[in-house]
Amino acid sequence: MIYRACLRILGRPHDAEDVAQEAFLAAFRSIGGFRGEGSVRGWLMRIATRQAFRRLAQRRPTADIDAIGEPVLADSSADPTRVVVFAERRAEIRDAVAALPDPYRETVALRFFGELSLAEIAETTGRPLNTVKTHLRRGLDRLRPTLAAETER
Amino acid sequence: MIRHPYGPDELDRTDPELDGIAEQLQDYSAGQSTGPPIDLAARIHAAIDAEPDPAIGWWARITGSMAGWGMLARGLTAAAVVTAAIVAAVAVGGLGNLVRGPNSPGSNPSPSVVSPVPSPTVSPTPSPTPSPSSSPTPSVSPSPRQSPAATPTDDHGGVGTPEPSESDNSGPGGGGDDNSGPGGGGSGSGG
Repeated sequence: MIYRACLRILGRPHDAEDVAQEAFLAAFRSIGGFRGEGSVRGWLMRIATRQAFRRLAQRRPTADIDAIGEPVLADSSADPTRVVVFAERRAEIRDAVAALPDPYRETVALRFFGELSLAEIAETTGRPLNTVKTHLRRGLDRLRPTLAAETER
Repeated sequence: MIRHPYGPDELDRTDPELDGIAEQLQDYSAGQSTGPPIDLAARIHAAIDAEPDPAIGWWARITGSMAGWGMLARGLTAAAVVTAAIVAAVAVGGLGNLVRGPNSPGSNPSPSVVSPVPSPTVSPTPSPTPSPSSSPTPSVSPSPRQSPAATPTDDHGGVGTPEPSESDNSGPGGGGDDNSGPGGGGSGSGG
């Protein structure tokens, strides 16, 4: 679960492995700071998403062939153009979410990449449920120019 | 398989465009659901085993032990801890006052001892000073007569009247009353 969330944020399996490992280590080191508010899963997920976004910010823009995905490349019947377009679209989704300001980015990432429910996000972040809903709504609203344009293509 | 699928009623608001964006994000996540490599868990375990034990503070221990408690119980416990700290602080302050109690009015004995000594000495000391200047002969005559003859001897004899040295010491202090004044003030402020 942690690895998948990192993969969805970073798009590269190797980076996702590194960040997942770093997240577990960071959680182990700061286990004394865990106050028992919310689930361990949510706490870990929050650490992992933060670290993944930090890694993403440090990453240099390169040709993202790793992000195309090994299963797609292994499928010889796949149309190469379609594969590339699909990869680009995923990269745009990732970049759009990463460009959100906090706390919208965190809420959207925990909800869709980390697969936490709104109640779990509220517990993990210590925010009221209605605040989390507002953050999610505003985050989606800020994604509207990017993702709504993609749906029109 | 998404753990918590997005529902249109999640935002308490009907907006098909926002729902479409949320579904895009959900589709994206569903397409990125490949599992971790098999050895990742072993690597993480090895990395954690290589780490030293994390230090857990006393507050984290307390709050960690309350993890399963309700909000009300946590609040009551926190209130009890704060109350206990206040009571302890007040008790320590009270003990301090008890310990300092006999000493704080200790300013009283010092003027009481001192006061008899300066009171006779103050009266003769002004008398020699006006005596040369204003020359009231009857009052001046006894004290200089005794003082030149008796000062060297009476310092050790301890008669009490010819004590220029002691009277000078008590004189600038303003006499016994002035000494008792600050002492009384000190006890008043201490109480």
